[in-house]
Amino acid sequence: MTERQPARIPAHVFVMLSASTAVYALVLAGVAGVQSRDDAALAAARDPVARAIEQVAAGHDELGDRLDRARAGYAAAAQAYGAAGGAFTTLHGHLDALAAAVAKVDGVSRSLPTTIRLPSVRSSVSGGGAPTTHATTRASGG
Amino acid sequence: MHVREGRALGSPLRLLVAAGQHARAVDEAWLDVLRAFEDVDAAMSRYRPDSELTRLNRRRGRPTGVSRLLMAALAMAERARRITSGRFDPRVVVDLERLGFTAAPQAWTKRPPADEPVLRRAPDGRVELSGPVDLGGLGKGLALRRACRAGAVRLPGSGFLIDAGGDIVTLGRPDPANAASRWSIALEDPSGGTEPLATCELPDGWAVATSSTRIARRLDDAGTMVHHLIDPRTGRPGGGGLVAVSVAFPDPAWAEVWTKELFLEGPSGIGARARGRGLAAWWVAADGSLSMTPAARQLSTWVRSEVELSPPAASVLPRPPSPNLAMG
Repeated sequence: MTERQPARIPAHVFVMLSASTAVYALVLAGVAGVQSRDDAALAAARDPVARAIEQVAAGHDELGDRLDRARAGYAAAAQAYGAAGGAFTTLHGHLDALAAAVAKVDGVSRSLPTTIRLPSVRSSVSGGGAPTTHATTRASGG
Repeated sequence: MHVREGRALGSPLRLLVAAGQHARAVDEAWLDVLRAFEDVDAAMSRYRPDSELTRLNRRRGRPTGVSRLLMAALAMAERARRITSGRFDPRVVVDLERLGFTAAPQAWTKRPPADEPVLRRAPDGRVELSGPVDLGGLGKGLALRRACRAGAVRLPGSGFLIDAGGDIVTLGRPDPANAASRWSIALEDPSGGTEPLATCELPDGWAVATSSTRIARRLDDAGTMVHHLIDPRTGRPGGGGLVAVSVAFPDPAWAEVWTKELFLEGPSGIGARARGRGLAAWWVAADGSLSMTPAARQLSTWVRSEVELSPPAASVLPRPPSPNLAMG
């Protein structure tokens, strides 16, 4: 019997495979290079937009801060207004009392006579005179 | 305020009773006051020939029975003589009569030694005088003492003042509604001014007496002006340089004694003597200046010399010390 020999691959097949692989690699490299250039161009084209977006974001943040400060100021102003409101209430009460007093004085002043008669007084007085006493101790001759 | 007025012992007599008493009670008290002075006048007057004292003097030292009232007065006079070392001595009658201050003649001119007692009491209770006695000022003080006691009985709880010609005794308050009220007394200006030299307020039950040369002055035989405040040590008017002395004291009779003693100390010695006795005393020198003891200043409520020397009201300068007011 005859022993069967394994099949042999021809050499040109290997050459062909190698050649096609090389071609494929070259093509792939070329495509990759082209694609890389396109990506770089695209990135360069998109860069101003990104900066604009960052500027918009920063402006938004600043606006938010301003709003917070404005809110706090408003709250403080509202609190001060509330306090001032109490003082105004007290002042108002005082003004009412003053108005009542003025009205009374006005009424009394209207009731006063236009002329009065003063009592007669001594035309001369001695300053620091002796106080009134019950008796005087004096020479009795005893 | 109830007021009753009359005369006794040769001087005006006045009773002031605080409001609130019934007029009838005041009248009864006034009668008691008059009776007290009449009793003293009958017993001790040198101006009445029928007084017990005049009759006793005219006995010229012979043993004589006397009333309890006169005995008490003589005993006090002798005590005052001893305490004042003879500056108060009731036996100046001889000198008074010699200077012309006559009354009912006492008919006895003996001048005993100053250290001899005024009287001796015999075993039978009778009295022997060592010389003629005058109880003028002391008698008035004793009359005030008796009158005050009578008033206190007749007007219990009521304030009153009795003024016997300038010698004054008080009791209680002048204002029943004011527990702090006190009887207020003016000190006469011995120069004759209408305004007093000072005023004071007396504690309850106190008296005030004054010895002054403003009255009872006369020219003696030599033409010299003399007064009636005789220094027993010299037989002449004493207190040279002083014209008035007032003393406030709890008893009117002793107030009389102190005024005599202080007056005879003269201006140089009166301050030390008055302070030594702790007296409330005011005195006026011949130049019109008023001095007083610290005790008297505490009672004083107004002093004319201080008012006159005080700065104008608008001034803010501190008040200067009064050179015219020497604290004795």
